[in-house]
Amino acid sequence: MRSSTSSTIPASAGIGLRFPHHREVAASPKGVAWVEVHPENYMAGGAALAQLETIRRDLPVSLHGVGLSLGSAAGIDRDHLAALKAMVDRIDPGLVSDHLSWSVAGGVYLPDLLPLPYTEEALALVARNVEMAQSVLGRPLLIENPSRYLQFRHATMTEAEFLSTLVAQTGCRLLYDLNNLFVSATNLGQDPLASLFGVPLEAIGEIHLAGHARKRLDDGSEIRIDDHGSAVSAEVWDLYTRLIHRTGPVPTLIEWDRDLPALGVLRAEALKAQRFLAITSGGVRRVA
Amino acid sequence: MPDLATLQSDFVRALLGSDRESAIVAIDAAPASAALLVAVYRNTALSGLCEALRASYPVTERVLGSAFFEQTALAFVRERPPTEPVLARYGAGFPDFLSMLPALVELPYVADLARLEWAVDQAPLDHRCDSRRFTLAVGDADAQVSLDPSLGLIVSATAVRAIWTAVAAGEEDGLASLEWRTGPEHLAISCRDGEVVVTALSLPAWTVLSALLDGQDLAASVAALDADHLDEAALACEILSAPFIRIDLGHSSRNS
Repeated sequence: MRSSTSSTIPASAGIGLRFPHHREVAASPKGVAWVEVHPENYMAGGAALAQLETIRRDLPVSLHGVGLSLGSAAGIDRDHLAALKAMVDRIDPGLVSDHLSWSVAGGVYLPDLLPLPYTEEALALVARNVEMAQSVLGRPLLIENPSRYLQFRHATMTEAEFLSTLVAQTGCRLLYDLNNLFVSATNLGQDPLASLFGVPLEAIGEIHLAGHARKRLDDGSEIRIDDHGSAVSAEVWDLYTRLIHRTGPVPTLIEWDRDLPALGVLRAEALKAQRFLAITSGGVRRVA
Repeated sequence: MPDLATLQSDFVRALLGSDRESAIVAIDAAPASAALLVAVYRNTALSGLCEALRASYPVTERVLGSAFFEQTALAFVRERPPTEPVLARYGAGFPDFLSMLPALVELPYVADLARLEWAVDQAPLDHRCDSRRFTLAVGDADAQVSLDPSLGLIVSATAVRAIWTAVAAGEEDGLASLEWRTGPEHLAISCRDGEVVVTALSLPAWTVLSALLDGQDLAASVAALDADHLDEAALACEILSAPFIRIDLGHSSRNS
């Protein structure tokens, strides 16, 4: 499919598109700058894919994968990569992204973004998988920092160091999820502000914003759960404004999955992000 | 410390509950105990898979009740986790799993109902096979007949079509009066204009269509029937009037 609408994702605020909002967005795309979807939700085809193609005629689309499993020791599933390539050819997305995580081991796929130990071994493996994916897709991938609830004893570098080296080695770009950054840092007893600028800012091609929940564990400790089930928190808005003050406008996405509200609520969140974008450097990225 | 492949293998076993200890040695026990932190991931992974089953089997869930369905789905997920990331295609083995549950041995229609529901769930999705075509003589002309690529066939030992129809329509009150012991049912599931259609077939029609889907030609498919008891006209009428049949009469006369 080649839409008459440009594929380029503007440096504006878009929304994560979920099935219940398909018809409304298709009927009234104005007021939505761009949308992002999980390609795996459309790979079985059917009416959902047809609706996405309709929406693509009016809006730029970003494909945000959850199934490449770039951190799998066994490597990338070639069939899944081919299916993603077919989806890219069909939708002509402005951006294609996936996560710094893994989901597959021993042939078992689990629908979660599982944590990697940040070691030299993992870095070499992820770099190899990212390069293969980029080669097949014919474009750079954006890699997203995951939300984390634990860390491994044998890690030898921080997440920011891992991502920085990955960018240098593979030419990939970054999808910087500020909710994930906040959730991970809070869960692991770190200061999110201390690591906010630790990644190469010029490599940031997209920012994610979302809500999270607090959960009390059985031992009384409290953790933050990246559930995408509420409005963006004040702490994450604070990280966002600090970041775009340095980077200038960057495509920004409002994600909301659990307890999905009316589309108007997502639009309002996107408008809030848009207002912050508007008061940055007037469309010129400051990071050279 | 384990290498990455070993760590990931251990982690998956920990999430599925078959070995909760091996992965934990590599985890920094902060901010909570490693076991509790692994449980956070376990909850996300398993609840996501149960949700995928719930989306594919809403009628089965209503018949079983939410709590029993959840418990059964969880057991299935742990025993047969997915092997690919497209969750819309996960759960094909759930009906067979139900059929082996001791708790449902007195209710064999539940597995059959789930089998029908899976076929209904998958019918709108893209199909990996081209539609089957065959040529039929119609007077002096040849008609090209094709089976819709969404067509799926199942044979149900119990009579579940009425149960599925009633529950899907939210009319569970009359369920007790439905007789499921009157099977078997030979059913066709297909999509038409975006809607899933379940059609009851005679045994001969189901047999012919099944052979066609298996790649046999029309003559071979019909030859498999018992010729002594075959009403060919009725069979042709039943198949050609089915909602999954497309007929193209625009072919030239055989005599021209």
